[in-house]
Amino acid sequence: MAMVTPLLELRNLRKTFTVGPRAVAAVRDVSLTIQPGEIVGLVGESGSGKSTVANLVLGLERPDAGEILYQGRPLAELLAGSGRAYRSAVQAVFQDPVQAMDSRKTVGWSIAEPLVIHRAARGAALRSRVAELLGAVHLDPSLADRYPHQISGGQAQRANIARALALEPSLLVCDEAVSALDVSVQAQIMNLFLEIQQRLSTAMLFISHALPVVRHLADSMVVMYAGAVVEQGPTEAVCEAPRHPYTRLLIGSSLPPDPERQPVRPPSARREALPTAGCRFAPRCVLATDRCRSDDPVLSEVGSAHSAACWRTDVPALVEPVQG
Amino acid sequence: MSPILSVRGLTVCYPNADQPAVDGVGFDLEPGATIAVVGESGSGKSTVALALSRLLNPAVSIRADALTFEGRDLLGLRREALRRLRARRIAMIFQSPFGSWNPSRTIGAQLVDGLRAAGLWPDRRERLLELLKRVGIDDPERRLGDYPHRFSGGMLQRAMIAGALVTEPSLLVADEPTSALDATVQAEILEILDELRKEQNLALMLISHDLGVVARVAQHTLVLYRGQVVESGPTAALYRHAGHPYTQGLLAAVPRLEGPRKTPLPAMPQGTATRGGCVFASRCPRAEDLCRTSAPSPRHLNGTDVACHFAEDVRREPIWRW
Amino acid sequence: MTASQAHAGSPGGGPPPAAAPGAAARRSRAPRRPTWSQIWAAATVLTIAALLLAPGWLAPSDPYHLDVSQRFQPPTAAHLFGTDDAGRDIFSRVIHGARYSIGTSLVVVTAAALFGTVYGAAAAWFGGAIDRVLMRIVDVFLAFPYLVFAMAISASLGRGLTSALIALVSLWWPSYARMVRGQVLSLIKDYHVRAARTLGASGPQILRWHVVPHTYDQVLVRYTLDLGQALIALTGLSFLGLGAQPPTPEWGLLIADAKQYALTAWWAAVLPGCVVFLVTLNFMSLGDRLRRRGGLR
Repeated sequence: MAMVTPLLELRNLRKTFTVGPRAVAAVRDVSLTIQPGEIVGLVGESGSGKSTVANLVLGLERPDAGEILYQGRPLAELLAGSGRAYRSAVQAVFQDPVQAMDSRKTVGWSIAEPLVIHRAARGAALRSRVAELLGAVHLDPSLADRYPHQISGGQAQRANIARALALEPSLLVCDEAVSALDVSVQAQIMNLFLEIQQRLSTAMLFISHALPVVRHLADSMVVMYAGAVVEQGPTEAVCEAPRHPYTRLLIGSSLPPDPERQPVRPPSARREALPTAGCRFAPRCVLATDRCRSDDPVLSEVGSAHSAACWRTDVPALVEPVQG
Repeated sequence: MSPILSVRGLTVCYPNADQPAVDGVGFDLEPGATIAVVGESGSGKSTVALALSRLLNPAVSIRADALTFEGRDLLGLRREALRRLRARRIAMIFQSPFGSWNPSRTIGAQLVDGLRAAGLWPDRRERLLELLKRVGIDDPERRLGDYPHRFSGGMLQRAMIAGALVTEPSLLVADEPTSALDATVQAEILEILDELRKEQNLALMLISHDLGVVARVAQHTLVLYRGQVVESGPTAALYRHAGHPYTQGLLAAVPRLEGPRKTPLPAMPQGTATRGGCVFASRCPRAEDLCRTSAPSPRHLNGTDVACHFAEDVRREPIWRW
Repeated sequence: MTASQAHAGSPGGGPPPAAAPGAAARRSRAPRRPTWSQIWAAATVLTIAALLLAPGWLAPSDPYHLDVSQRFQPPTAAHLFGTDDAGRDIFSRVIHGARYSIGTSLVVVTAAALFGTVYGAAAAWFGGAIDRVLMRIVDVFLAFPYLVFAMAISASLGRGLTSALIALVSLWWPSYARMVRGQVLSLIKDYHVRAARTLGASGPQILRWHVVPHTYDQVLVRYTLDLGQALIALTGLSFLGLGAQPPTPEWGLLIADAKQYALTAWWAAVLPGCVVFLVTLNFMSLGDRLRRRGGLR
């Protein structure tokens, strides 16, 4: 089988922010690969660094070390000059659909904006393309004349997706794109993302704190904790046979909408200060040993295309994720 | 056992609104029991919570056939009596951990304010420290001198729970208490809340949009849609035998950790507000002319109370499968 | 994909638009009866436009026409504001003077607002060392006492309305620069700007489309408030002889000329003074109403 060039490859990315006197490593040696047409889920809690990864991929921030390759070419090179080609190939959908659009511009204006910036259409062609895009996300073309605050959250998120699709990107970066929506609207938007993947073969980096949402959409997933990847692999493998204790904790903390299938009491989630050496998860981990507190574990293969950064992957899950 | 809180026909209208935000809601809450009000944004679930403690702006009209708490009529209470009730008998927790605290005063000072208002300072000092430890704040004596910005969201919510329970109220109204928190923190806080509830024989009213949280916590559930209770009943029965199309739609729309993935989720269509008939008619595939002209009243149907003309059919032949 | 297919009942579809926001939109679009303050604002704008564009059409007589036989006439139906020492109709002079007083104030504040907005937006956008240098310059300008500055300009460029105008613009733009810089600094952190960046919008495009238009409301409020201030400052300079020169019917100059015979012909100073007062009050109250509404929308 011939090797396909990955669509996007992150190699040992590192980004540190200085907050006052302290340096906080938001992203530590993150590597991940997105194949063309694939949905990669990125899960983590607040402070895990997942949004920084999104900003790095979108070119909104520059990494301190490591590199990002798009179709084998380094991002730094692609963004030199106007960076228009990369900007049209990688588009974003954000969490708050109303704020992501300019409140003083109509929805139609916002959807037309990328086409104007990239000189892709003008005049009557522009108008018909906007109507076509609204149709593609199942919105009525008359919504083009409304302002963002005049439409519902679900409609606004569809409009944002229409805007992101305007330039026919090969990758969508979705940063908590369904987290602010009501359950019934969230389901519709998730369906729309699946439809986009199937119809347009658009790849996605789908970032969310909600494990069930990522499990539903992603082909493969990456779990981050304290700036580093702790587990990654095919979605089924990660969700059904999690090997990192943090992934197990996440699964055990997810409350299913079923009173009869609630998880047993999850272990304490109390946060202590993050250690500066060893496994960052060690203080919360029931399996932690002295080695975990001194040596930082590296990602190692635990199954087919499945890896975890843990010294204790040999130990079977102590906590059954679901009560019978 | 007589209910601690009894609500009948609660109707709340905001000024200049053409439809009530809460429309004829009724339920009973026994001491030590939990009830959840579940609904999406705009369902009126938070308004129910605010109306119970009369925290709404005076221009908002609150009407009810009955609104009694510990045998007293809440709507007839004067300001001072109401204030005393809120200080000692009814506690509230809100969603935003940062919005609920004054950033310019220490956590300790704000907790002491609460106790002073209840006339329980300094008698309950030891109890407060004990509760803070229970909810997971280590070394509370030292942490009480900190300002809110030194706490994480989870820690603020923990302190909020300790402050709410130290007066030993008989009712706790919690409006999305864990929605802003990480999943692992949420699970732990719900657990602590449940333990304390059992110990103090506290009645808990949980307002949430999260069907997982409701399933975990509540014994009894009300499903609210556009201000009306469309279905209510014991949580287990409601989740298993949902008889209202909206309840089914909600349950079916939630992504899960088991079962099929990468397939379209059953998603309810959006709809417009209707008058006269069933509030859900415009979104309901099962709706007939009857639904558009006459509003169904709740009927007891083997487990839950369902406000749907075709509840038997809908339960036998679910509109959305979950 | 065409519009008609958008309604096809795919799982993600369903009939848009949802009721509440749609209804709200329709309500806000429905024509409403104008309020008194809107009527007043419109009347003010129209009156000033007429004064500036067609003073000859409004004024009963020629403001420069000397008629010694008519000197020091008290206010009558023929001469609403009376006449001055040269027998000129003061009412006509006030109407023609609007072009100099209000017109120059408009030029002053407009130029200051335009320049200050661009300057402040640029400082915030570029940030870093550029921002620090640009803002130090602003501090220097704000530290000048305006009268001293105006006298210095008059001394170097000669007395006249142009010198006064230059002095006032130089001293007025920094407050706009400061205000707009602050707004832009917070706006460029907004989500919609972040979103526009990911679309590939260039710096000038983001500023022009997504940042500067959001400062208009506050700039407009200050602009309206400042019109009154500028009118006072400008008539003040003319009154002191640093502005308009005779025989221009500029309002400050009218009052300055009339002060010699203020005891015998009170109307020549008092009535133009009242006009300055009323116009200033009007600008201020319009600005204040705008401020309380948070702009035009």
